[in-house]
Amino acid sequence: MEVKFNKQDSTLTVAISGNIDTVTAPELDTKLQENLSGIKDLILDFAAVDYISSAGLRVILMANQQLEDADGTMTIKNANDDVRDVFEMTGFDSLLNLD
Amino acid sequence: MTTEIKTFCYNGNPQLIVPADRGEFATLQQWLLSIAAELDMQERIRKHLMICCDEIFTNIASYAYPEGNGSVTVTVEFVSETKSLRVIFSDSGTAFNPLEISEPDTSSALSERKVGGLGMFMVKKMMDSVEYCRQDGKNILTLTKCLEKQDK
Repeated sequence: MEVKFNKQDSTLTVAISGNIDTVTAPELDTKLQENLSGIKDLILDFAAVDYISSAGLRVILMANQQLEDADGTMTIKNANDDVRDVFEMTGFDSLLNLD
Repeated sequence: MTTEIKTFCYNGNPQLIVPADRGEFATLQQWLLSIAAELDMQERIRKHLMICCDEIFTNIASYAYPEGNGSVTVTVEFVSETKSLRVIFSDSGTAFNPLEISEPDTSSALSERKVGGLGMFMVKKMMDSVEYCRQDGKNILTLTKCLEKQDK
């Protein structure tokens, strides 16, 4: 998994590539935590995400909670069909901002 | 007709044995990817297989050995008659049937959501069958997925 950050004012775009799984999710969590301070809008670009397991869902859930607590927003964009299926299957689709 | 079962080898062994540590999933992942390539597996089935094995491995790594170190044994078989792949996880840890984990409430607000149980919920949805048995002091969990039909 690779993670690239692009910060503009209080908007942070995070481009993730690879799998968000039990091995890589803790790393994604750490990197997000290091960069979320002062962020109002978090955009997770999933264009290059192959698949996500529940360990990754947990990280997304926590990030979403943090943004909500800060009156901010979190958006996931460019997720592939299989990742969208996982969001639908788990009910995350109706609760996340999917672009 | 006799059912032919092909057992995949890992470094010449009929199974993979790794420490029950989350980081070790990477080893299983690489092996499964090579098997998926060998079987020319549909992309969607490959992803579902990876997710499900991730969930099972993580469960074992997190809960099977509360007292210390242990290992996970994984066997992968292809059953020609049913065109199915079987992934069998075995550990000598605490007796635990993951099929008894209560299903998550997937309709609750995200902020109230607990991720616990979500992994097994996905496994049951994505695989054709998930079977658990306790045998000779071991937890044995078998995932089965038909590789031929259009994936659900």
